[in-house]
Amino acid sequence: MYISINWIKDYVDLDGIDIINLIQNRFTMAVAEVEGIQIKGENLSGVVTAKIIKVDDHPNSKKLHILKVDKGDEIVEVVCGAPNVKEGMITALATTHANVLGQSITVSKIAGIDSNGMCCSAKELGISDDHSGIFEFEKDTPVGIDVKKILPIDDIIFEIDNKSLTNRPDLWGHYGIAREISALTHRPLKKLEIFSGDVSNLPNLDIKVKSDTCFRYTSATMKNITKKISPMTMQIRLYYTGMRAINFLADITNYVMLELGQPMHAFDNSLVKKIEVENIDSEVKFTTLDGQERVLPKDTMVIKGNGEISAIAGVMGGLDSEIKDNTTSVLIESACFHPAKVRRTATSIGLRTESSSRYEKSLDPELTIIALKRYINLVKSIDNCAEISSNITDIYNFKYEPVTINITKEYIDNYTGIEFDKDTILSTLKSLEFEVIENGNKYEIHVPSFRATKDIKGKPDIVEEVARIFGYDNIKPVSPNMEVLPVDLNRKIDAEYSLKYTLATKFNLSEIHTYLWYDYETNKYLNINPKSYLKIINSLQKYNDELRTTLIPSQLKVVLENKEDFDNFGVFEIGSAVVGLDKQGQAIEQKKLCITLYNKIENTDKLLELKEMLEYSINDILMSKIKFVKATSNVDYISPKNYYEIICDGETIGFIGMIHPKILNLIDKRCGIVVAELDFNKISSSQIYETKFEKVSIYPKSELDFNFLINKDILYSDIYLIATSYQSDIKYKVSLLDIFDHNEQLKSYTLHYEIWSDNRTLNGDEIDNFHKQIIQTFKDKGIELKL
Amino acid sequence: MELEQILIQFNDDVTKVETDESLNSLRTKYLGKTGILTDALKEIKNVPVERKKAYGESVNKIKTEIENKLENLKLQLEDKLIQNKLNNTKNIDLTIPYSHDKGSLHPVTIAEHKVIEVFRSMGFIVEDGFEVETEYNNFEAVNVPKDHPARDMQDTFWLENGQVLRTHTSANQNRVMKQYGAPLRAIFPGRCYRNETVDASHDTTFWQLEGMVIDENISIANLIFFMKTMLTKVFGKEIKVRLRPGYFPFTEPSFELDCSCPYCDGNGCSVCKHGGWIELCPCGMIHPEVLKMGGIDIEKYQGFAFGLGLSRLAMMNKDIRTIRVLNGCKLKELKQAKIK
Repeated sequence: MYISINWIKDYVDLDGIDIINLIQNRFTMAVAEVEGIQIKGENLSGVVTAKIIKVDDHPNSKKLHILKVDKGDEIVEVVCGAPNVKEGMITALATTHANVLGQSITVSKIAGIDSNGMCCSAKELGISDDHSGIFEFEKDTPVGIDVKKILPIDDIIFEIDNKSLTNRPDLWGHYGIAREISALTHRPLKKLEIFSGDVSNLPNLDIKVKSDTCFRYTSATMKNITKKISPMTMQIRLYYTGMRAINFLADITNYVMLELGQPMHAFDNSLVKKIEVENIDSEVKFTTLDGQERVLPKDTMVIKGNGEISAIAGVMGGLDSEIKDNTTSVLIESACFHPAKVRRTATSIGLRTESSSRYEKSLDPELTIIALKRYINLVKSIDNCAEISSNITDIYNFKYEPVTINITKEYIDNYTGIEFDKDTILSTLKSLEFEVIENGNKYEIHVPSFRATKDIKGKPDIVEEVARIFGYDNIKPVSPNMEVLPVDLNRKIDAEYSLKYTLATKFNLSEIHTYLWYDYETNKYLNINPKSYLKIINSLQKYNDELRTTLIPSQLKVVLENKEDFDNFGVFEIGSAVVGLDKQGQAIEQKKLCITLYNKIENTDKLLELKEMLEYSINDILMSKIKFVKATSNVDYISPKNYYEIICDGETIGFIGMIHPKILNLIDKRCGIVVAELDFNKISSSQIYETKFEKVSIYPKSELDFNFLINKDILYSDIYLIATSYQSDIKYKVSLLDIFDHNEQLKSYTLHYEIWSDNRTLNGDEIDNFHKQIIQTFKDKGIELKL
Repeated sequence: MELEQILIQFNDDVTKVETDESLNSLRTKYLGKTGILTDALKEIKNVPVERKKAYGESVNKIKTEIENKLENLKLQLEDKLIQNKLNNTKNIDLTIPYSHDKGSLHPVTIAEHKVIEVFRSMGFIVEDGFEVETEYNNFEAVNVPKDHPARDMQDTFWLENGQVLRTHTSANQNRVMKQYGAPLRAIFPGRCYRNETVDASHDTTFWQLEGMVIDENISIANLIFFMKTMLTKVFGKEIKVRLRPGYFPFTEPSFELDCSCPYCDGNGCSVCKHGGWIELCPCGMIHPEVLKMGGIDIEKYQGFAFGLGLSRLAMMNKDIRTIRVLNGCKLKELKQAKIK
């Protein structure tokens, strides 16, 4: 919203105040965010009123004219192309050395003739978009006077971020802003001039409010309107604050809205004589005054004039009943509508207007009558002939409860951390028009109606009023007095970081963040159809609406997006997935760890590498215990070969495997992708296996190596069980030194044994016996030593 | 052999020694069990009584001299060996960069970890939350009334079952208050979702870090203290903060917290759009209704809450100019991140 300082000055005396500082700092810090400041008129100087004495044709052009112009101190010759030049007209002349739109004016040849200046359009004066002709002053305007002395061209306009006014319906007009500035500058707020005559002898209007979303409807009619256009002062203010002058009666509705925040509507009284406010019971087509035909859905609140829809309540009026050039009588609407109703209507027909965005904010219903009286006052003060022709008719169906708040000085001090003096509290509240009844350090505060629709409800709201006007900058940071207590370390948070840190630093993986939903295009391309339990009903991109149960498709997308940049890479994410719905239909959300390793050329060692990453980071770093158990893949994009379930505390929590070749073919014919995915919540809540230090024996260890020939289908985990099954008081540790293929059926496993005793040096016999026992143990399982 | 002769021969032998082995055999030749000098010492029994003493002294003198010479020689040989090692050590160019691959943490993780560490040091617990939330937790419990525009379709992702993708980490406030009660100092980072148009600084998916402090007498002055302290620690330099009025249903009063731009120290640069301030964190005193719904006794306790823009902070931290880098998964970009 744009605010004009000239307009503010109607209500607060700002003499001697640094206005830029006031707006940029104090206003921003106490009221709302200022998005920009424009200095109007700074690009205009040396432009004076001047009378066109003579209009001659230009010898070299049909469009151009040579004017003799009286600029007060001399008569100059000016070449001008405007179509509206005529003798006797008083216009704006930019003399030589003048500045117009930031350009300086010099004597220049136009089509061969010297022009000693330039006649300006309203656009060139910066006060309108009108460039159709040169600006024309009233007939009796004296010549040779700086135009800035006649027109309020100089002004400071600041733009307030509308979002920061969401909860302040009172700030959607200049008067409300002036009230804030009055409080900030400690200068009085001047009273609004409104119509104060008695019209109760005039007939009431026929107004019926049938909709409960119309809180109040206030109206009156006026006749004998003679003015067609509004005064320049008003037009310039409207233009500077982002509106366009249309005609006298419509301009004043906008002017009052920009001044008080109350949207108004003017109907041609010759067409609209009685009013009904109702919610329509079926869909209707309606042409709004912007000329667009719109479909109003059932239940839209409308204003009917003489039985026909004349306006969409709170949004926009209709084309048929709008003010036209020949309108001489007007029915003025000043109403208060339900905020959410107006917002929904505006949203449903896709038409947010100045009016609807004000109603959305919960306007004060008390304002309707003030605005109406202000309208009447303005019309009468500009158009002497205008007369009020009805009683002020007011249907007031919904009143907000008055808000009274009891608060103490102690509460305010305690809440802010500042010791306020009493006068600051009282004068601040009074300057914002709060009524305060004082009882020692207790205050009974009556909130003004324009702050009581939703903004001010309780004690903290009062604290805010006092503190913001006082200035948040004046509050010094203070540490609270708090008991020192140890903090519970959240294992999940710690485990998550340790795991990420390990994967990134030890295994050179890159952490990624992928979206919570599947990417439709990727899944389509890869011809995969992963499970989903829940859809977004208003997703931004069509089809990207299924919440994922697995992160793997997201990571395959990442592979597709990075495979040209890197031949080999690994990525991981600990991210959410919705893995089911509970009995109440609520999402079961699970944090999953997913790792993908991509290799341009398939390399089966990668699966072992991935397994090692998991074992190291989970078993060694997090001290949980996971195991890998061969299983069968039940997902079609994972290869049936080399699929292992990951087991933790006896429960399957995930899997490790290879992407199915049919998917690989679509990515890169020779590539290999291995993946692992597991329930991270399970890991971070699993049993912890603390490392206990074992006593290191002081007696020497002996080392024995065995080569066994073992069937290829047997897993090492089973071989290890055999290798460690021998019971003895001799201590031993088994490790795998080497594996190689022996023949079609058999592999040769080289097992390395370290053997020792904690209480003696083992002698040769003992070692020989151990050797024999191990061979026997394997023999019992049908496994022979390689000879 | 004459004693003088032994020494002469030894001196001659010594000059031929070049290795440890020849040194050892030289030692054996003279001082071993059957060594020349040992033999000479054994000869003493054949020496007449009156010369025994003088003979013994002479032999011992020669023995000492030989021992000393051998010792010196040993040291010389060691020196020579070390010198040889040094001479043969290859020159290595340490200005050559290492070439192995590097992993990376996500910029959000890095920023999050930093912030968590600072808050933990000030006695905050760290909590987790859910991305799929109930309407109650996301809206009702934080005082967002039924008619509030935030509940409308355009801002929130709604799910088929009536749940929502949380629009802010505040959705976890109620749960945390109910779990821990007051007094409370907690932060909870997490991913949030808004159904809004994507541009350089907005995406449907972004990270926040919510914080709450509830105790007796918690004030706006305390809020400023914590935010200023945290930001100063995170950026590793003195940061100024300022509060501007804001409006959020869950706090009253509500503020927009700006921090002085850490890049130009508030002098104006492209990061702060030449204003010297960066809008970082909506915050405020927790609305009494929110406290009540969290089971907190509002006669006794009050507090503040904030929702730090973690994605924003991560971008500032690493000078990332568009949020697409965070959600884009381009490894060329992400791999630039150092771990800390």
